[in-house]
Amino acid sequence: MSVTNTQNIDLKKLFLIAKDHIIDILNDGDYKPDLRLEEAKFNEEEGVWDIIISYLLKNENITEKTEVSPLNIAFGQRKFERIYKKVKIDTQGKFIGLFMYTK
Amino acid sequence: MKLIDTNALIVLVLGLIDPSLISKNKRTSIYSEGDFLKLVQVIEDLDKLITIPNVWTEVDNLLNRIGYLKYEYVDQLKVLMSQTEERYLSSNIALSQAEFWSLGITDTLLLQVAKECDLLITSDSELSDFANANGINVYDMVLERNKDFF
Repeated sequence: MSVTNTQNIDLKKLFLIAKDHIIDILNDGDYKPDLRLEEAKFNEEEGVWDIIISYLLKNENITEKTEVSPLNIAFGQRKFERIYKKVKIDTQGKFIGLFMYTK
Repeated sequence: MKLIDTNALIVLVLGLIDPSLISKNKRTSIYSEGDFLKLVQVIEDLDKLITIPNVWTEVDNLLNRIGYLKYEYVDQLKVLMSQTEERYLSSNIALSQAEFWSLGITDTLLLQVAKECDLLITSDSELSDFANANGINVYDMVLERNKDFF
């Protein structure tokens, strides 16, 4: 079983640090990105927090003329897609970076 | 009937063994004992809880190497498996659904069973998104937990 150490960490603080740094890449305008904290694990080797966040991203390739069909849904032609990313934050609360993450 | 997914069931199993284990597991790291107690309140009655074999397999794959707590783990599985319902759906059903491409076998089957249930209890944001899009009632544990962060 993977072991984390979240007993003494303020998850809200980690989430807000991540949020402040990625809010710019989220689509603005007519929908809420539903940004969420999914996981938080202290990376003992690197001495940093690895946190997983998710958010909804609007698919700008979908237009009103795009046919809604099972095939389109199957191949990612959905209006919104949930994106998962890993964020690294050091023990001082400094944002280190945003990384690809596959659920 | 209330349907439960893998991560939510892991929270339940760990909480029944020892609530302090919940925040130590990578997949349930954002949850606390309070979230476990809320989950128990939502479930209300184990006799009305349902899941699918795929979920039990995922839970066991993730928790079987629990170490010195193995006996407690097996005891809780016995209790939960004997009191809850398990519904089998063929994997072929998942493959015939468009959602399979995004969700995989287990969550696609959960989505199918959820259509016949009163509530889907999930700790998977993507499954929750799909369930909401299908008009399914959802208790979304990630969403509930994240309310504390805003």
